[in-house]
Amino acid sequence: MNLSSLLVPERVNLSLRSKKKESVIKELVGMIKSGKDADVIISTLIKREQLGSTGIGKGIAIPHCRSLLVNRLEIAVGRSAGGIEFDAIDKKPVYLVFLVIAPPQDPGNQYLLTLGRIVQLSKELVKKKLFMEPQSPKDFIKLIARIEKLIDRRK
Amino acid sequence: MKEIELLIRLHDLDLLLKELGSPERRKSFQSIGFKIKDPTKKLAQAREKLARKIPKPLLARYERIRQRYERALAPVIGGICYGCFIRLPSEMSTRRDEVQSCPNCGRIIYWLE
Ligand SMILES: [Zn+2]
Repeated sequence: MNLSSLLVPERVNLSLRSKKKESVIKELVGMIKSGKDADVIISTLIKREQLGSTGIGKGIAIPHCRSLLVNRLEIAVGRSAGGIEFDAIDKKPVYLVFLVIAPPQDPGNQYLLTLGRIVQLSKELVKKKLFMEPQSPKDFIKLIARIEKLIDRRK
Repeated sequence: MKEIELLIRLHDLDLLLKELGSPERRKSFQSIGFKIKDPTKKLAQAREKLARKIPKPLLARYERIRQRYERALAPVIGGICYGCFIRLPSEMSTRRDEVQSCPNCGRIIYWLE
């Protein structure tokens, strides 16, 4: 499983405008879908959040859901220098958001593997606030690729 | 909201209820690091509210197909029903705002670009 290969610069936004959970989710879904499709996915993601915030602590959030409206795994990334109110489990603001939407059918369970990988990567990204360093989406993806190499080498 | 859109919303919600409804399945997310409550009670009201907006015969049809297949709705991609992988008659695509069923497998279909 390789996250950097699933990321594209067009879906990495290093200066999110929104400061609140719901509007951040909208901003990120907007990079993947538009119109009514976006509305449906946003509503599903918010229902998922109601079961427990996907703000897993240390400034990272990973909103996720399955939806009929995608036919492969779709990911968008957003960063906010000012922080987002995300109702995170440690009650701290969120600075980096990975949004993951998976199709209903997913034989290799890429969905869970991807979520696990993002959590694993996040532990490295929060060290010395590494994730704030990249100045462009391309650099951000390069950073992810570099950390993934380190993680894989450790195994 | 169009009926097909309501059905898609309901189906997405049912996916969520199914995926996180059993303690074992929930555990696979919890072990990654997510805190998740049992969705059954929490989302029951949301499901009811959504289901009420759908005409009864259509809702019954949805539930009936769900008994038979795991998923009641199948996407159409490139003219193919992804429930049973048959090519659909092209005139069906001109009525994509309506609720239509695949003539082969009977699943309710929606167009996915
Ligand atoms: Zn079919």
